[in-house]
Amino acid sequence: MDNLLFTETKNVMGICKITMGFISQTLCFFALITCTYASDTLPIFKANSSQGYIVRVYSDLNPIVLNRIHQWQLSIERNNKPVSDANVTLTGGMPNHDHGLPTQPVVTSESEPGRYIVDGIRFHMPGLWQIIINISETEPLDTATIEFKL
Amino acid sequence: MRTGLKALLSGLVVIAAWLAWEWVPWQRETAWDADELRLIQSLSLDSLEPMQSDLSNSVADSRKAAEFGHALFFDKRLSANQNVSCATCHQPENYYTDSLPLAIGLGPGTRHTPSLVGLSHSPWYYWDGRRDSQWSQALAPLEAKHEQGIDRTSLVNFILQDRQYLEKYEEIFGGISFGLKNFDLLDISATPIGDPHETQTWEGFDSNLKIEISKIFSNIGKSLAAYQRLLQPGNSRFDDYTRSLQMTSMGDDLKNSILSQQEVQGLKLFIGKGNCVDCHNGPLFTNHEFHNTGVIPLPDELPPLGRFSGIRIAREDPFNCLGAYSDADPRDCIELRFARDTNDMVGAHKTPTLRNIAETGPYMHTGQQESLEDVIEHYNEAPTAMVSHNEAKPLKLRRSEMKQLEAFLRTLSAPLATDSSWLNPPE
Ligand code: HEC
Ligand code: HEC
Repeated sequence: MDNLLFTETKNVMGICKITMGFISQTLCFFALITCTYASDTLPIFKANSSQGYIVRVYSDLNPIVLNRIHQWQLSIERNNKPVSDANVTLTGGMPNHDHGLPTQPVVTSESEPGRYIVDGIRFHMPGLWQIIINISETEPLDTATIEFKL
Repeated sequence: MRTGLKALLSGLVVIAAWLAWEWVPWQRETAWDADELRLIQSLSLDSLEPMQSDLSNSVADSRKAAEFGHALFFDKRLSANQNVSCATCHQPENYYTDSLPLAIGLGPGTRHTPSLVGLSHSPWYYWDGRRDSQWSQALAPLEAKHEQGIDRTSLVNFILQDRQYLEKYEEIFGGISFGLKNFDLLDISATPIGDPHETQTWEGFDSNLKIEISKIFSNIGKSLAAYQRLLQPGNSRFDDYTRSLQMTSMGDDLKNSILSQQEVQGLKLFIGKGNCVDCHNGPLFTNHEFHNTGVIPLPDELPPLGRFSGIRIAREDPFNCLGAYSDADPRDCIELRFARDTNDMVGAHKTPTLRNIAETGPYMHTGQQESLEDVIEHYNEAPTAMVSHNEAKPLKLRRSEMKQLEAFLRTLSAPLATDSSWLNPPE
């Protein structure tokens, strides 16, 4: 966490505080997002990976509240094109507690090119959460990470 | 002599200072910051979401099924000795608990009886989460030898023979099949999970009969669940306090008359330094999840595997959401399909609600802790877990802070929001 770059922006998600950084050791892009407002049709999070994937997260539970199992949709693009047929998995947990997600969310389908459905996601504690989205196409695995506070 | 007196005096001063540190409450600022206010409101009953429907139980919210379940819940004839009902252990006057460390039915049990109030909001049942619905849960104590011990065949026969029950049943679930009506079940004890004689008899049944009996059996569970969904927590002093915080026009004096300084300080610890809200969160003071909190097993007992085995049993349960007796589309069984089953579930138990907690002792899955004081002592020390690891860390609270925390927990009691006619046996 030592060589982070910090930026603060206002963007489509409403009044959000975004902290982004590049961690060279682990080759992953990292975004710390705290939102106070979000709407249904807009992504609640956005993160970039080191190999240029852009992931937008849509949630059917918005705003996200604790203890409710729900569905996410990940829209993934690179070079302005949807990324189809990638192998996408998702892990996560709370960096300040040594535990992961309470469930085992799974990417169950790709509803349209570049749009992946994640079922079974739930958060069960207030505090800082980190979600790591692993994307692999033909090239080696790449990850995009989101962090947010509940 | 002089030096002896001096030493004695300074010793006394040290002891007095220590006692003061431990026991004298510090009056801190009670102004809440925005994060604290948000957390406090999230614990209020006003934040309780409408109960999710149970897609695996098509009669979950049927009034008729709740009435049928109400009668069954209190009926002692639903037991091998005609003397144990659900209400023997889940006593309405004790918030549906029994005041015992370990439950006693037909025989001694191995777990402490949890409260049923507000429980229907949970996706998982039992301390180890080995059932995924309230109706599949209800089937287990009926057949368990140390609880009610009535095998499903005898139970179904009893319902078929009782005119009132049969009428109610058929009104809710439709007619009993001709085949079953004409099959003489009298004096037959049979179930796939009983003693060797019962399982052998069950194996002898043809598969249609097995399905018919299990179907009625599952509908009995669904009715018991419909009844329990009505058991909801009532408005406590804490909830009044959360409301007062939203009224900007209300004077501090009035707010302070709802909760005492000591109770407010306890709330501050609960959502702050005590980390309680990590797991006891939301309006029911539970995240409905499984955690290892280093509760020490009873002497001579191995530490239970908790949720690690619970989730495996739930997946094998023929009455689960994906099973033949469920009313859900398999796609709707999200909890079961995406449940976590990894090693960190070893020794993890379900976070219990803290609503009415002062009235539902003793505490923990085997009633290890007698009082709230003991529970808080336990969290303060956070002993090393015997299996896997204790997620809670030592708190280093002072005596006075532990008292404050306890005082806060005592503000969470209130009469149920449920009409009292449901809390007594039907006439
Ligand atoms: C002999 C006492 C006894 C009887 C009789 C009994 N229970 Fe229980 N009940 C318990 C105990 C003990 C547990 C906890 C067991 C465990 O988690 O392993 C429990 C657990 C439960 C739970 C799950 C609670 C939770 O927090 O997940 C529900 C729901 C429940 N019982 C309902 C019923 C119903 C309905 C009946 C009647 C059909 C019934 N019980 C009969 C003692 C009893
Ligand atoms: C890591 C999650 C976690 C944290 C943090 C936590 N609890 Fe618990 N709590 C649990 C679990 C799980 C149980 C049941 C444990 C068992 O029986 O093995 C429990 C049980 C209890 C009980 C007994 C309930 C009953 O019906 O038997 C009380 C009271 C309680 N906790 C209060 C607190 C207080 C006060 C704090 C803060 C000092 C706290 N808890 C912090 C998870 C947690």
